[in-house]
Amino acid sequence: MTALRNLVFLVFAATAAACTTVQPWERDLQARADMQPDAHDAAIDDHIYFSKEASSGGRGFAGGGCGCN
Amino acid sequence: MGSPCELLVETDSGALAQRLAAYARDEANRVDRKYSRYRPDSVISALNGARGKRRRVDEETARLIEYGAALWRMSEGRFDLTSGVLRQAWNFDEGPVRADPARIPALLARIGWQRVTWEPPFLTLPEGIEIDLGGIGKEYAVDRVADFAAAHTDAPVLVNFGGDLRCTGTPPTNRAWLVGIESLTRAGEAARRIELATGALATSGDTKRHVVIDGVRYGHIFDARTGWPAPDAPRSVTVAADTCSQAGSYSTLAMLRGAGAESFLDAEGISYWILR
Amino acid sequence: MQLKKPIGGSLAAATCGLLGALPAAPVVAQEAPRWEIDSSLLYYGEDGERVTDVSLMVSARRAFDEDRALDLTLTVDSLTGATPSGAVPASTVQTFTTPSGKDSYTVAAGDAPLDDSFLDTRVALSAHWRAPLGESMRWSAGFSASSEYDYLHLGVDGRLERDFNLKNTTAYVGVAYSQDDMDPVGGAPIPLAPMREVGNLSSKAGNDSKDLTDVLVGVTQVLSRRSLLEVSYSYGSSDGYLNDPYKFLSVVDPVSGAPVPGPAGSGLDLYVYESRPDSRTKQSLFAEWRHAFDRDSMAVNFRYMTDDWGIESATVEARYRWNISDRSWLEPQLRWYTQDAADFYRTVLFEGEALPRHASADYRLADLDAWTVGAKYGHRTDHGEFSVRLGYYRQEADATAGVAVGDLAGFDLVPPLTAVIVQFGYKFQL
Repeated sequence: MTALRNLVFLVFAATAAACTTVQPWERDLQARADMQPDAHDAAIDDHIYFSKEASSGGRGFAGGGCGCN
Repeated sequence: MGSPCELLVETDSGALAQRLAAYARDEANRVDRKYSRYRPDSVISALNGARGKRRRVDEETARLIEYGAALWRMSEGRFDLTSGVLRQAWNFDEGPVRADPARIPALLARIGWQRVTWEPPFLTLPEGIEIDLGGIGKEYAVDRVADFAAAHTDAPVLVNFGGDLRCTGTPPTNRAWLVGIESLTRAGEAARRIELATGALATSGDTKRHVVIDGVRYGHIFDARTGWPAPDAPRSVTVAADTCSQAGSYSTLAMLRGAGAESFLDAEGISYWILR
Repeated sequence: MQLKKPIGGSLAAATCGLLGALPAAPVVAQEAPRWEIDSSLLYYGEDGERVTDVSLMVSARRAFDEDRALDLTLTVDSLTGATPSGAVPASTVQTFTTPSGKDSYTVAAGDAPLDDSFLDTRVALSAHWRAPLGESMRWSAGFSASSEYDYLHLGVDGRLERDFNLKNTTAYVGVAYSQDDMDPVGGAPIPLAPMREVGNLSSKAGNDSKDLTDVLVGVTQVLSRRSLLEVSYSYGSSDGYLNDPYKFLSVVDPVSGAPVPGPAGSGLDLYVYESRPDSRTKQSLFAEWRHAFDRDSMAVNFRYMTDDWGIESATVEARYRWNISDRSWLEPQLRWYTQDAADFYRTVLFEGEALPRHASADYRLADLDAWTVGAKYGHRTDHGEFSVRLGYYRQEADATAGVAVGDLAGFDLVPPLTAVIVQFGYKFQL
């Protein structure tokens, strides 16, 4: 697990250094529907995994509201 | 133009965007200067200062006057290029809104396209009668800029002069321009959202400029025959049409129908959104 | 009311005179749809006689303008099937009392003990309102509620977002609080109390509750015209009755691995109800990277979670969206999950050893690895978008170390779990 943790921080450090300002008119690709997070499917997945595993949330609030765990 | 003007273009080319923006700015300023009633050097000031003499107008002014005359006929006299003098009874321009209805009867004597002699390109305004192209100038400028854009690029362009707008070219990435109709009660918020893929939208309304007399709200679009706004006029009329001039004319004429705005627009078979 | 002739023709002619020509393309304008509806029907089925969940979820969004929207979500869940009770198989027939205390059931020798009285319908509702706050900030607030026959959840949450750097960076902070009340069938068991015979509720003690607080901070950063990275950290704390009231542990002989007798006169072997700590704090780090290609796009996310129960977990998810045509797309999805066991996870308890303060044989707190492999296919029509998702979930626990004594060595103490996920979706606008 320690190796994983180090990897996360490495990824953050790498991306923080790589940011450039993208102008509003360069947002055509980012604005595409398939680039938006799918909150509906995320909620369904959270519900399934919440009741089968010990972890929840992360993407958003930890969810729950369910007697299944 | 007295209101915010914007031009949106979806393109990779900075040069194209610059060229369109420059044309839009120059054209807005040109039309504004040429037909401003406030500038002593404007075409309008020259015509209104002619003291009953016959004047020759340039070709562009002739087209605008001809269009205004057509609107006068179509509206059975409700819309009139000579109704600007009503501003002396209804002041919406600066400072607190004032109304002085007692002056209306005297002013009505100075209104009436039927009193004007229009033999293109010669215009004779009887003494005391003034002409004002303000009611059609802004939409005309939008159409001029949109036509220029359409002739120069297929890229999606939206020309918006103070809420009267027209788009040209292919629809933008998300298939249409999303245009909000401002809410009557919440400034800056949209009451309706319109998807405009091609064509124009224009809005007439009293949300910004109105006066309340004895609890009755009066807008700033006057029936030239009575000197008063049409009774029970909608608060806001937005019309979709092929050009901004048509959309603006429809919305103004609908306001002049007062309570009959909806039935007037229904009979035209066009898309419109009315807030009351 | 006099009939008027339409002026359309005269107006078009006048406009033509004014502008020289009319545009070739006629106007295309319509009012934007007010509601966006996203609905789905989910089937989740585990192998064997285990859980089947059929769930209908409908989300509705009403946008008032670019930044103002109301979101409503309704979920109806129907769960049936059996779930592992926590007890281990034995070479004899085992008898258990149902949670209600009104009945008993037996499990054949060698079979994994499942509690098949598991049947539930859950209704959940949430509503959120989102609005701008000045030029570069937004806030949202909402509530959620859900109800099952033995469980009631009520929650509120709020979130604040701010854009920086030409909207290339968005930072957000959120807080959620919820209060969950449970009224388990037969009462909430007293931790580590033994299972009693039918009609004896002395190990049960009425209802209980827990409350949860979550704090979330995060940043979304546009990396380039094509890429975006979201990173968030969340801290969650729960307090109260955190046990699963339907889970217990087998107490076995440390040499033979066979069940030992339960309370005198009960006629049962010894099973004790699980005992989890009454608080849990967990921290998660989440990162998602999304990238747009000219036609396709992909997303990869990673989550690391750790809590004070000694659980550490890592999750990696990846999906590739293949935009086959303007109208259809296919998205393969992959997920890998691994967790360490909770400090107090015990596959079984041994007779004679001191009873630990906390113990649970809930497989969800064991050392687990899980995989999900799936794909989603979507097709857009003029009216809406259909989608179908198929997924296969496989979970394996490693829970035998040090406990495979005597008889137990021959049993699959925590059998693997295999589930099929089928989801039908329809998205449309009103």
